[in-house]
Amino acid sequence: MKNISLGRYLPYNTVLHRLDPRVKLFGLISFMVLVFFSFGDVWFNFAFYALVLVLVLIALKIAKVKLKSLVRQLKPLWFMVVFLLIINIISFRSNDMNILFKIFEYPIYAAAVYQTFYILMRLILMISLTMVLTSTTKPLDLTFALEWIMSPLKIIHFPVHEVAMTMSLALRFIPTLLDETGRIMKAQESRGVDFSGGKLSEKVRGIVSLIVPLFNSAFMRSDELANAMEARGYNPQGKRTKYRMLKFAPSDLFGFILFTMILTGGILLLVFKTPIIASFYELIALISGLF
Amino acid sequence: MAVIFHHLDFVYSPRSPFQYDALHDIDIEIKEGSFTAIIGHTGSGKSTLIQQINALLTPTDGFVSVGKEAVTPIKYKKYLKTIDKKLKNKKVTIERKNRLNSIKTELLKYEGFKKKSLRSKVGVVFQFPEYQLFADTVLKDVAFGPRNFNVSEQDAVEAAKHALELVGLDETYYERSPFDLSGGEKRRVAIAGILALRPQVLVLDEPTAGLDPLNAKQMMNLFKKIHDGGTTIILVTHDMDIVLQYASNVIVMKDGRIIEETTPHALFSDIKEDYSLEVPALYAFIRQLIDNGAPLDINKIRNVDDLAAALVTLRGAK
Repeated sequence: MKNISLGRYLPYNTVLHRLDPRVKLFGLISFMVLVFFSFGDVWFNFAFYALVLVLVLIALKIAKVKLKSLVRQLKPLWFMVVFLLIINIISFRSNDMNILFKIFEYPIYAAAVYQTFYILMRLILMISLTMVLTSTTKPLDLTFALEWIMSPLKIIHFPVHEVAMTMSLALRFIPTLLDETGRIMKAQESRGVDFSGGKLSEKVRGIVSLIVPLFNSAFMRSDELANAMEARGYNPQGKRTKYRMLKFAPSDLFGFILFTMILTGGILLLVFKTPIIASFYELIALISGLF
Repeated sequence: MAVIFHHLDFVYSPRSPFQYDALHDIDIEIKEGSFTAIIGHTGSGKSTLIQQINALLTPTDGFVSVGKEAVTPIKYKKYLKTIDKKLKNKKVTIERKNRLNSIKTELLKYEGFKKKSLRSKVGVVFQFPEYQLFADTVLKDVAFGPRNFNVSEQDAVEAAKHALELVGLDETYYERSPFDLSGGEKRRVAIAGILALRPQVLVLDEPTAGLDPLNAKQMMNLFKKIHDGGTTIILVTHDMDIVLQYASNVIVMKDGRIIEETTPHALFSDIKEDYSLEVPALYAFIRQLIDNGAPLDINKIRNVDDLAAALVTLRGAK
C-alpha cells in the first residue's frame, strides 16, 4: 500500500501551496507545452530539456517533494523505455541517418536513440510537473480551478458543474477506497492470504477475495452517498453558492505573469529558432575555445 | 500460547508529514489461557496494538513474541545485527542502550517468525468483519481460511462445518450466499471464517459492535466457550459490562501507552478520572448492596445470575 502515494497532497505551507490553484493549473499547462517543443536540433533540444529540468527541480525543491518519492514514481518507466527503444530502433526513419553503432550488422540509428530519449525526458518532466501540482494543491481546490477554467463552456451547454462534481466525488473517494482496500487486505491476510508471494493460483484467489468485497462496499457507499445528497436536496441544475471562494491575490498575479513569461520565452525561442540555434553553437564554440 | 510485548514502539509513516506515533514502549505479557480485555479511548492505540500480534503491522522498535516466534521490525538476524551496531555506536544515549540491551537479551530467547505459521496460530477478527465476505456460498467462504494454509479441501470443509456449528448456523446456511444474510448472520459467518483456522490465540476487535443485545450476548457466550476450550482470548471493547462479565485481565490504554494492567474488579473498585469509563450498573448495584450491609463477595459476582444466586444463599443462610 505504501507505493500508492502517487501525487498525494503534502500538507506543507510553501509559496506553491499558497498559490491560487487556477494559476498553478495554468503554470502546469504552460510547462507541458514547453516540454513538447522540438527545435529540430539534437544538442539544442538537450540543452532546452536541461533548462526545463532545472526549472522543474527548483519547483520540486520549493514544493518540498522528496526526490526519493519522485524516483519511486519513475521506476516503472524503465520497462516502457526499453519497449520504446526497441520499437524506435525497428521502425524509426528520418532524414538524419547517422548510424550510432551496429549490433550483428543491424544498424542502430542515432535518431532512433535520440527520439527515445526525448520521449523519456518528456515523460519524466510531465510526471514531475504533475507531482508538483498534486502535492501542493488539495484535490478539491483542483476541481474548483478546473470548474472555473471550464466555465465558459457553459455557453454551449456543456455540463461543467456535473463534470466537476463527478470529479471531486471521485477524488474524494480515492482515500476512502484506499483505506477500505487496506482494511480488507488485512482481514484477508489474517485468513492466510499472501498478497506478495505464493503461487499464481493462490494469488488469483487472494485478489478475488479483495476485489469482491471492495466492489460490494463501493456500490454500497455510492448508494448511500446518492441518498444522502438527495436527502439534502441536491439538484445538479440548481443555482449554487460556494462555501469556498477562490481569491486572486497580488502574489497570484505575480505567479501568473511569471508563468506567462516562461511560456512566451519558450515560444519566442521556437519562433526564432534558426538564429538562436546558430548563436547557441557560436556560444559553445566560444566556451570550448576558452579551455 | 502467551503473547508478550517487549519494549514495542510503533510509528505510522515515519519521517513524513503524516508521521504518527501510535505506540510507546509497550511491555506487557498476555498470559496463556487468559481472557484479556483491552480498553481505552478511540485513538489510544488498541487496534494498532492487536495488529502487531499477527504481523499485519510490524513494530518500529522492540518486538512482540507469540509462543516461540518473535515479530521484529526487520528480519530476526538483521535486527540483532542492527542492535549490536547501535550498542557500539557512541552517539547512542545510555538510556537507549539500556533499552536495546534488554530487548536483545529477550530477543535471544526467541526465533524469527514465519507469516503463515504465525497467522495460523493467531486469528484476528476485525471490527465489522462482515466486509471480508466474498465467496458465493457461506461454506466456501468459511473454508477459505483453512484452504490458504494448505489444508486439504475435505479437511477445510470439515473445519468450516465445525466452525459454523460453533457460531450457531446449521446446514441450511451452507449453500446460501453470504451477501443475502442479515447483519448478525454475516457477522457469524465472518467470525466462523477465523474460527475455522482453529487459532490458539483469538484476537477480537469489538466483536459485538452494532449487534442487537441478544446477538451480542450469544456472541460473547460463544467466545467464552472457545476460551473454556483453552484458547487465549484478547478482546478490544468499549463495553464495560462485557469486561466485568467475561474478562480475567484488563489492559487500559491511553495515548499509545499502557497505563494500567489489572483485573476487572480491581479496575472498577478504583476508577481513575482520566480513564473516563463508566462503572457497569451491576457492579455499582452490588457496591450499594455491600455499603448497605449485605455481606457479598464482590469478586465472585460477574453477572446477574451470580448476583441472584448469591442473594438466594444469603437469604437461605438467614
